[in-house]
Amino acid sequence: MPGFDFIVLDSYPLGNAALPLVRPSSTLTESERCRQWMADCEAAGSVLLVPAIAYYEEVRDLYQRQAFAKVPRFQQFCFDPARYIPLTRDHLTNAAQLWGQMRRTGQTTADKHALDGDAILAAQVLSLNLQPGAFTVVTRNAAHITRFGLPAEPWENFTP
Amino acid sequence: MTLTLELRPEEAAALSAKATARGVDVATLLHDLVAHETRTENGEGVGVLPEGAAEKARVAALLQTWRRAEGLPTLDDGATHTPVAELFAQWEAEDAQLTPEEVEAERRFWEDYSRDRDNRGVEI
Repeated sequence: MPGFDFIVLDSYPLGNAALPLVRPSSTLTESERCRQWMADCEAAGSVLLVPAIAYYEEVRDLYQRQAFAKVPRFQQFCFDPARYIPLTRDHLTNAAQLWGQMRRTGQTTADKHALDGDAILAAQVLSLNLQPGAFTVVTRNAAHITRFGLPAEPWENFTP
Repeated sequence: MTLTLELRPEEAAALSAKATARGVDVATLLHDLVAHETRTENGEGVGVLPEGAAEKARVAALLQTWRRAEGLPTLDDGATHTPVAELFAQWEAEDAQLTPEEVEAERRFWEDYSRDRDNRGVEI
């Protein structure tokens, strides 16, 4: 699969960004390989994009675990001025419209009372007006993203 | 070169509306206009970026517009982009100072974190 100009990171693989490489073993775990993959993608010319909602989904786990010392690194990666997609009022409104449309047509993946971050992520990505074929959303839940008309796949699907 | 141009209000409004519709700021739109108007017959021109690069510049400008609205520092006012490889190298240099006990604690934390995430599966 060819490289993309833009790669949007969902919460997974994003959560692997702050993973330290301190293991004495030479065999990398899946998370560590994924971390390296992100660096390789950018080195190959892809722009990595971090939607604000994906940042939220991962950083909350660090807070829940009281892993406060790990937050600054994660933020340093996410909030880079060329990487972070801030959440705007329009994003929230558009996400709500997408969510309503999905519910009406029976395409649901979350409880009615859940926030459904996928709709917010989709609204953030759609607002960039990216050209088809120039980008993909990298995620573990491709079906949740493609229902919004966006391309999505797991990171293992392509090499930088 | 710095140019000062007095625009009529309707020109300024139209320019601003056009920039908003394209998701760029007025300066980026004007640079695009210069690039377009200086293009030669074979398509080359001053400041004309390859298609992929132009698209990346458009998206970068859009991100800066939203950052500005959020009060976040932008590439235009001093914030800098750090490539992932550079960031990781910096962290690895810091982590090289960890004691064996700290390394083991890190390993345990991330193993546990990854396992929980795998079990969680679907996000919100």
